[in-house]
Amino acid sequence: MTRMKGLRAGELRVAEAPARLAIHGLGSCVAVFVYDPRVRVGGMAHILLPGPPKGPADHAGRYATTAVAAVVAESIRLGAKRAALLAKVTGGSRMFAYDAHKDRPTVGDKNVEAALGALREAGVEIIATDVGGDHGRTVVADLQDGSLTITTVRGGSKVV
Amino acid sequence: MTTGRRGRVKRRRSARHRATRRTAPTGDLRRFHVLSEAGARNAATALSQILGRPLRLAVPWARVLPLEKVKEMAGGASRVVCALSLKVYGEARGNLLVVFRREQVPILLGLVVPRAHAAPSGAGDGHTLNDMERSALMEIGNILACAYLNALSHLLGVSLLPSIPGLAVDMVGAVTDHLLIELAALADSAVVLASQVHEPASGLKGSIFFLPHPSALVVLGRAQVHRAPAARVGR
Repeated sequence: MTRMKGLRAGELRVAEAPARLAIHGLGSCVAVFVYDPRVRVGGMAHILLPGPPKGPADHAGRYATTAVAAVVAESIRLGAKRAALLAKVTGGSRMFAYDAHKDRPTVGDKNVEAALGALREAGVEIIATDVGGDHGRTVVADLQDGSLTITTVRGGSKVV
Repeated sequence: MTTGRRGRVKRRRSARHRATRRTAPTGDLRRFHVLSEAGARNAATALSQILGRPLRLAVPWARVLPLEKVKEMAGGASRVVCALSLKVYGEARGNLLVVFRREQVPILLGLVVPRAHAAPSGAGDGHTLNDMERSALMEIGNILACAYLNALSHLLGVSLLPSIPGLAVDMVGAVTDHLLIELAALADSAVVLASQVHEPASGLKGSIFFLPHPSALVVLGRAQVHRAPAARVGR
């Protein structure tokens, strides 16, 4: 069994094959997985918020803008080529439906939008998304084949 | 990009350092503990009267947790639970989360709506709840939350109002995300008031978590801890 590393909220990690990176119980947070299939390195971020508050920001992994930049930079440091990087994005659910706020974009929506925006800005091609909905996800990224396995409690898992 | 510096990614500051940004003094934790107990006692009383059975109160606690540990508080991020989430408005804002394990949903429904539940609608797996079951669970969340907040209101001398509960049957990690997200922009740690009610005959166990907004900590710190809790649990 290859080793699997769990990512907590606001954390990001880079790794090379055959490592696997996992997030258990992703709700309105967003997972961004980037990898270079050629050299089989990449990383994942467990993002809480679209952007950092004003002023000096630490916790790069918490915010979509800084987390994407950091995970791309760290993957490149491990040997990935920016132009070869591919990205998969998942999460951003609305777990509790409060009727009064149905039409407003949720923090999940904003997280997804910010993550996709940051990836485009970083020049990384987005090849798969599985976002939104009202259910949680457990996400396992496999650096060996670049697959992202998404499991929900309603049964069923899919690979993107 | 703003994060050019190497090594910044994985190197995170120590928990001790982070906790200094916005956290509660130890004296306050004792007060929070009293609040947690008083709230849970009142909630247990309410539920006990609805069910017509005595309820036990398990050790309540109040702690400061690093944000990333909040997901582990209700049995781990992967555990599947039935969660009711309420926003708390008023002079001490925050979030309340009432959690039952998924396996307990049928027990809970059986206690509250015995006859209607004679033909279960797949509630065994907790995902295919019908409208009546959802509404019964939300009502339980509502009652527990109101009773909990009433006790806090009483001890604090402030008004606290719960929102309508949101219901989800999902992983702990997923149903606690919104709590983290709300706090992440403001603090590096979360003050958590937790308690558990337990019905020995059926084995029903429910946990109540109150996560006050950082701005509410001052109000909570004013709790009159020498006063007896407002209500007793029937035993």
